[in-house]
Amino acid sequence: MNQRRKQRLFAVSSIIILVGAAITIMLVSLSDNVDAFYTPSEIVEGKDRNGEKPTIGQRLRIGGMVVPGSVSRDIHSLAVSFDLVDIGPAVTVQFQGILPDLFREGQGIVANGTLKNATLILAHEVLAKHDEEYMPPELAEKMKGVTHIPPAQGTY
Amino acid sequence: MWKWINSFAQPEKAYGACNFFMPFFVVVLLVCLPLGTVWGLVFAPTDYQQFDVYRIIYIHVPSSSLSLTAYMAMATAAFVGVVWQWRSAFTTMLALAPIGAVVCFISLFTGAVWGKPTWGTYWIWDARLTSQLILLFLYLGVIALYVSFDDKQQGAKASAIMAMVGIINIPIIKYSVEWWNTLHQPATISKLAKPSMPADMAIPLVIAMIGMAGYIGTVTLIRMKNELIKRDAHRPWVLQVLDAEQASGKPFIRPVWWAVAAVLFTIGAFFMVQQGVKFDSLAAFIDMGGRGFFVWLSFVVSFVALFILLVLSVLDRKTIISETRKQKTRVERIMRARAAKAAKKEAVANSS
Repeated sequence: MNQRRKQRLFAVSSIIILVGAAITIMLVSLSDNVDAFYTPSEIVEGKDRNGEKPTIGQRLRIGGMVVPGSVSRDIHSLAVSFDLVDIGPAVTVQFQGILPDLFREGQGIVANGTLKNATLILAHEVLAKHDEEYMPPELAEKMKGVTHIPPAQGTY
Repeated sequence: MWKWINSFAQPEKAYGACNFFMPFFVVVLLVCLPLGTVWGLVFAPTDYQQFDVYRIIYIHVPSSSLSLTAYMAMATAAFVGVVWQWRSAFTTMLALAPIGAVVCFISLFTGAVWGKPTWGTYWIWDARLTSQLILLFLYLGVIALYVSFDDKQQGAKASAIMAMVGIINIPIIKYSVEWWNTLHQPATISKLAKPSMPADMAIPLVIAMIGMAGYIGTVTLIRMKNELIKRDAHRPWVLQVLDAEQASGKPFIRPVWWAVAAVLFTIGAFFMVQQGVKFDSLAAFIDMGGRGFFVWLSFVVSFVALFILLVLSVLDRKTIISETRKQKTRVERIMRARAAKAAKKEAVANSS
């Protein structure tokens, strides 16, 4: 490799490495509060790291599993309330609107909303989170013992 | 070895290489893209959670995954162009940018359409979706930067720097689902791990991915040839090659390749049909378990976008070639006029 090529290689690599390092540092420092994400137990007991609890009225995002049997719907409107849990205590989420196809008891859910009191969240958006696994219904029934009804016939 | 590789820095050699590789990509495109799509839509089993709306995966995952691969290829070409100053490398980069942009758009669009029924929202600012959107802006930035320069060599250099710096976004997209709490689930198919889906679902997905790669390869070669002709329009090899292509009268892709494609497609279709149709009736197929709107919107928009890009690239070639020929006749006319003028002058000088 001749001298000029070496120089260009050096210049280009150093630009890429420098910008890369800058972005990495930014992302690492941001990663703690890239969004206000809490699990139900973090809302009740505070985050592991610093015991920080969300304040009443704070906008936050919560992710957890819908507690089976906790879903209660209002017959006259779209209002629904359900409990979310991870490994510790549960919190209640209230929501008014159409739930996604994948909303089921036992399903992982992400909700955006505001904290009304220590264990109650008023959500303006409820999103279903699913895993990366796909399988035919027959196989799922055999392996996981779940029978699911198609979304079009869903009760939610 | 290095000398041989370096010879492809010459535009005429690169043009020849494009012609050499073209049939392979065309065959892969023609066999795998329709096969993977039809297999995924009709012959793959439905999913236990999402049911038929999950079939969007057969266009979403190929386009998402290959929009990253295409970016890496583009950045590599930019790197070679800047460091070794290959004349042909920037043409590869410029050819890939619009293709990557379209594929990245398809990934975002199908993702949004899929997200609405399953997650409950078209868009959410989570790390995976945001970083993929940045990828689209990087592709558009590379194109815009090149177009905005009057001096095309300077423009190519500037967009090459942008393409190289943007490579940092690739690992961010790839690992965003592991580094942050994202709504987007981790990868279903990855090279290192066992796929999280049974073979009868995964095989059509892999075929569709290969087909998408074939599409990207084919269109890249078409656009790269256009770019090579455009940049070297004034150099003699261009018209020599174009004239030779015209004079030989051979079809662009030899019949043997069409035969290869037909045979491979038939073999693939044979295995596909053995899986059995997964719908009771045509109405059920169109309805897709009540989610037909989302599934068909994804596929129709994606294929229309892919088709438009392909047609534009082919039409581009026609325009560029006719421009080149026009330019040549213009130069010849000017030369003739000059010669005539000089002869006249000489005649006048002699007579006096």
